[in-house]
Amino acid sequence: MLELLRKYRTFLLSVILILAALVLYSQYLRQTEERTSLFEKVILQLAAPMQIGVDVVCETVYGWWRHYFWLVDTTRDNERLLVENRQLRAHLAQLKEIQLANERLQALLAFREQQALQALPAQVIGEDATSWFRTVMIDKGETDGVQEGMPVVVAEGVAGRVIRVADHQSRVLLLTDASSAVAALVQRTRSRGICRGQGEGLSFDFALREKDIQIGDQVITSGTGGVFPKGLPVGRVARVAREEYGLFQEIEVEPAVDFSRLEEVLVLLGEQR
Amino acid sequence: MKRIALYLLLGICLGFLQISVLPRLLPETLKPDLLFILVLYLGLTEDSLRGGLLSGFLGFLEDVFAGADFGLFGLTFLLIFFLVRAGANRFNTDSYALLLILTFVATFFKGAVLITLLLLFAEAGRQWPLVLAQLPAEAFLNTLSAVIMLKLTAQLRSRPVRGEGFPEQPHLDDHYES
Repeated sequence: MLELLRKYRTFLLSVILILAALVLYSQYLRQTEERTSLFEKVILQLAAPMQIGVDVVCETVYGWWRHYFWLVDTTRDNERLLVENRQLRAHLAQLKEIQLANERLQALLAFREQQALQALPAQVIGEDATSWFRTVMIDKGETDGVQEGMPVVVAEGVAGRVIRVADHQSRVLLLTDASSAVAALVQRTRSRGICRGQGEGLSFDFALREKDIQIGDQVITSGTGGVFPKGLPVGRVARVAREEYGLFQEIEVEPAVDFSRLEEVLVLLGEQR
Repeated sequence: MKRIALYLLLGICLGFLQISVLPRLLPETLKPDLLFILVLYLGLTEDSLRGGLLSGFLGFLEDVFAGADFGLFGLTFLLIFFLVRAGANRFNTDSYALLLILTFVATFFKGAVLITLLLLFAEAGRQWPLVLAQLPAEAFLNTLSAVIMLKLTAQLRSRPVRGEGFPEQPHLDDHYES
């Protein structure tokens, strides 16, 4: 028996490890609550300072690059003569950046005040590690009141929902991820459907063939999915195709949010207290 | 033990690069999988127990920062590790070109495994066209990253300090001796 075990040691080890991983994966898929494992919490906790550090360093370097380095590429004489002018321009550029940040935050604040739900502002500190999925990391976690499944929005509309929560950071599944789906309706005609992620854009599924849906129609959340409150903008209809046969139309939706420039978001925590 | 610690350190460094640094420099749809390259290297050089455990750990590490289902990359990396391990004896594992070709080919295989697992277990039937569309670009990027990593490793090895640094290539031949 021992001889047999020794002979097939590698094969048995492979099978055991793969089976263990398979059981762990399927066990995770069956969980409906508390989907963030201890391993994930620990790793997220450890990675948080590094990610925030990289974020700060990148922003600083980018700021230097934008506000100073491009000015250095002149002759010394010109530099001496134009130093005051440069400082002012750098200052102006900084002010412009502050103004843009201010505008973004004002829009977010106005949007926050419109919401009946309590909203928590958060900063995006990281993206998905692979090119196949669409998730981002935010700098707020369990200690700030964030829980799995909470909706995440920006001033322009729906951004996604929280899928993992550690103490001080969380991971958000963006609306454009292929495993994302949100119950939605066309604002003009009230036609219901499901908006699903397609990587870059969205599709609007289960819209009946006879429903009048046109390019440019606004798509909003219907509030029936149990995650997002009703009336949040999802996007605009970009393409409509009606086949000769079939129950449903084929509709593409352009997201309201520019996911490539996601910086600040709001996590909708729950009812206002 | 020292080798495991070195691999773990290397894995964490590569993970940090992949998770925090590269997404800021590269477009959203173009990201190399550095941890995957390390798993392939482990498949060519390490024994089943050590390499298997390390590959599983690297996969679960990637799971924390990628995708929606925990365990997907853990399982994928383990499957690929054992597959590479099974075939490693048939090739000249000293060859750098082997790792590069393997990286290119195995990226497509990783895509196939991911698609299969997603279709079998998760409700993400729409994921596969996305994975498929991005596979050629990722295979190219992974191969390019493998070239850069091999160059860096070669430079580190050429330093005069002996007995330190990353695990050396000669132990690629260990399994021929047993």
